[in-house]
Amino acid sequence: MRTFGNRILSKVKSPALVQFWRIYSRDKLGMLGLLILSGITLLSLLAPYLPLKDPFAIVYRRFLPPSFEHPLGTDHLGRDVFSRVIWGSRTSLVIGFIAAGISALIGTTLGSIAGYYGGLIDDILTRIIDIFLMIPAFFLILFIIAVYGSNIIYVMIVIGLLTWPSNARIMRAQVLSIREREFVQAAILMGVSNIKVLIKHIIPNAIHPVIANSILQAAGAIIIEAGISYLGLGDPNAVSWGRIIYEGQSYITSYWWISFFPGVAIAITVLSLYLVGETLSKIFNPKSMALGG
Amino acid sequence: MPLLEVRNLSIKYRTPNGEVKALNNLSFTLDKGEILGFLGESGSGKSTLAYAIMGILPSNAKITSGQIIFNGVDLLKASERKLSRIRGKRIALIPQNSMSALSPVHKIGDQMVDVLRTHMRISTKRALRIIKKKLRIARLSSDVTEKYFHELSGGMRQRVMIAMSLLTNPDIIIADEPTTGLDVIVQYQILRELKELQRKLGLSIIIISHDVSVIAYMSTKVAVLYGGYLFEYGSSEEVFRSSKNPYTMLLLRSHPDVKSGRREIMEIPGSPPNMLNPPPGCVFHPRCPFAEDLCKEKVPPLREVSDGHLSRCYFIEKIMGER
Amino acid sequence: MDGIGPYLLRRGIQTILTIFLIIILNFFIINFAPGDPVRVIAGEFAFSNPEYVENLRKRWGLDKPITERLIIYLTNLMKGDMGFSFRYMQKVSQIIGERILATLLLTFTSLILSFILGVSLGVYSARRHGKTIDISLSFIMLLLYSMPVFWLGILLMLFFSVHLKLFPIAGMFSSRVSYTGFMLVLDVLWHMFLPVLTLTLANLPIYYKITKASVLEQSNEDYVRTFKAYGLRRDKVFKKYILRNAILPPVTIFGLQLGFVLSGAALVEIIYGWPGMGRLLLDAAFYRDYPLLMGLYLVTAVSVALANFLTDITYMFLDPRVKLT
Repeated sequence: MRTFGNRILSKVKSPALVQFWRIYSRDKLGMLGLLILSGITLLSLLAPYLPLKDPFAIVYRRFLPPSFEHPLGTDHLGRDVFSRVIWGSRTSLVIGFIAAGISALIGTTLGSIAGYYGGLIDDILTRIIDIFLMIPAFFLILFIIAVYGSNIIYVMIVIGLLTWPSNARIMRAQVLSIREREFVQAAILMGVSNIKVLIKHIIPNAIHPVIANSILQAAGAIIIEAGISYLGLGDPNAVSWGRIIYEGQSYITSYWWISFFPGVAIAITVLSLYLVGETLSKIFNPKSMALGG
Repeated sequence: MPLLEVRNLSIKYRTPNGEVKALNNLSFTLDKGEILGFLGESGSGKSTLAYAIMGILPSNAKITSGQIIFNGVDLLKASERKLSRIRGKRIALIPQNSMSALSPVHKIGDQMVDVLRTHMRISTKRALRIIKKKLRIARLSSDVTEKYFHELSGGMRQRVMIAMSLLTNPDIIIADEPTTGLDVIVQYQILRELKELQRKLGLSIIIISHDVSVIAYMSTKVAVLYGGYLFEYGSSEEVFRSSKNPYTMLLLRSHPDVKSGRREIMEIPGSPPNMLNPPPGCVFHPRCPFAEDLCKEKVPPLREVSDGHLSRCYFIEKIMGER
Repeated sequence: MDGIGPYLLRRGIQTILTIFLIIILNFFIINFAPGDPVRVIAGEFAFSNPEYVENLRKRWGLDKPITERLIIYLTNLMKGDMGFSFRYMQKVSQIIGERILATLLLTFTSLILSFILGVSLGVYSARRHGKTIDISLSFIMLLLYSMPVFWLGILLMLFFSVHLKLFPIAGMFSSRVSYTGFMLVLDVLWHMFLPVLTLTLANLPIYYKITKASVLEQSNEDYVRTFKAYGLRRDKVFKKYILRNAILPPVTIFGLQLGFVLSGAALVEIIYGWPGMGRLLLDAAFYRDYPLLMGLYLVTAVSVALANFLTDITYMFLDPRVKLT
């Protein structure tokens, strides 16, 4: 896979990217994570084109154990579990990345403003971050979903809205240190407007740890969504791993496969995200010890 | 007989990117009462030498040859028992980076007691008495024992490490870059106090630095290192007043000297050698204005220029002509 | 102002202020949610009997403007009255009070166990860095951390309760027999085993990882080199100096998790039918039981704020670098 990546990179013109890949590809665990993640992403993208049974079709015999015809069996409604698990990856990946994306967007914006302008803005923001960190996110999400409806979009947005503080913190710290660097000072002296300095000079250099953190947050978002779906509060129209586990748990003593395999899928996906995120953390921030926020 | 004698010491490091020859055939002596200064840029092998003497080389270091003889004992071949009676006790190290040289969550006194009790069987009370005495010698108030490291200024931290090195009344003190992180005035104070201590207590000191003025101020004898090789060796007078080596000369010329009135600072062209893939022959040849083809082929041997003054170069006479 | 006293006072006041802010924040979030709570309680009556609905509205004070409701709520809070739950027909403080101990029993036990086991294993692994046991442990921990806690719980229950029939499937007490004294304690412990196991396994990895990284980091610190140069024994340097420095990050995590001591076990409680706050939270959210919800959030916020406060104090003693200004 490394040579495959090398081949792609020889076409790309960015030396920074090439350098990055050289460092990244040395980490075996990071490569493993990337491999798994790519595989899952590929599967989820290709799902509509693969020879899978319709995940919504209630046509098969119920409670069939895993077999060649139904590799992961069928559920209580007679749906093919294998197909549902594969389709479920689409839901999870979308949730993961959009929630992490929203979190990164808000966190980066607020964090860089706080770090750059300092003073009162910074103080207020730090207070807000502290308060946010005190809120038991899972329950607030639960509540909001319960009240405003279990649309999958709400889930994504809410998770993003509640997890931005960790990104803001990282961004703020980064901006604080980069702000003092020569090339930034030079730009300011030359009269470049503050916003431009932020966008063109500071953020591109500061963004790296946020990227690493976002990968880890995506994993977190997937787990949160799984938990919500497991409680029955997820979107009933979406194929979600958590929901499949929820539906299957009443039958778990006799028909274990319904709840078992989606869990495996969650674990593998989250694992791959952790591996990639951890490796990125190691590269961008050699001192990082925590498993993301 | 010299107090410490190092003969043909060669040390290499095994890294994931290849081998690094940190020291090549280094030999020198340290007599009682001498202050021997090791001058060199970073990567020249100075700290490796200190760690080798103290026996704290990292696990990927390999001593390929040589002897380190202290009081007739070869430290590289001695038993653990013998070593434990010497290391930290008869030879003490004032480590690099004194800013973080002690544990931040333990009191200073506590840590110094641990050091003292490693070598002596005494009660904590008696140990503290000795410690406070040494702290005072290092110009610190004795209540430093109750403080934490981060509560002290840079200069004070360095003095703590000096005091610590004096705890067991060692014969030799190795000071590794004692001035890093200190501002100029404090640097001067520390060095001056060290010199005083040496005079009063009859210590023998090995001082390691990349700063010419530090070495010039402190040393009675100088060894100039570059790329793991000894390039010049001799009394401080000889090496600084009449250097017989191109590297030393260029180093001195690149150093601002208020007294000489010289206006220009002439940097040595080029950059320090890549130790993973050093230049063939004389390590300095890519940057040396006197280099000729011979220099690229074979490493020049050390030659005795005058009594006790050694230099590693093929064209010493030519250089002398240049001056 | 410096010193321990003023520092504590300051942190204490900050904590109280934050709690206050959270209460107000929560009040507004909850009360601005769509869905008429009266309809939820009244159910079918709402359609047939507008008078009854109006009556209910008056009783719960839902006809007053929001600012008045806030003030009423705050004044009641000062008296220790957290309101009255529509659904349970009980005082909120009573409902919570009945369940809180059950939850704390679970969370405290597993929190302490995760800490002890995670830190020990982390230290163990750090000392054998790179060896097979270290790599295997790290991998297992990573796997554990990737598993959703509820899935882990279900699997454990499946295996231990159903398959091996070693432990009860649900509940905190055996329903058929009524024990007292020592037998009661044993009974609860027996019921507690699986939920605690689930929670501990779920939290273990993070302590493992942080501790291992911390120990490794400390091992490369300058002071270790200093002590080596002075001939101190490796063992002593490790136990006295490295460990003592390395313990700080895990303690920070412990402090953070302490804040979630009331809400963290919710999913596990639901799986195992443990009569704690978990089910309560879920139902309250689902049925828009506003007073209960506010009470629950309040209690949770207070516990988080308190936990932060406690952690700060502990840190003050553990790390002399903490600035008391």
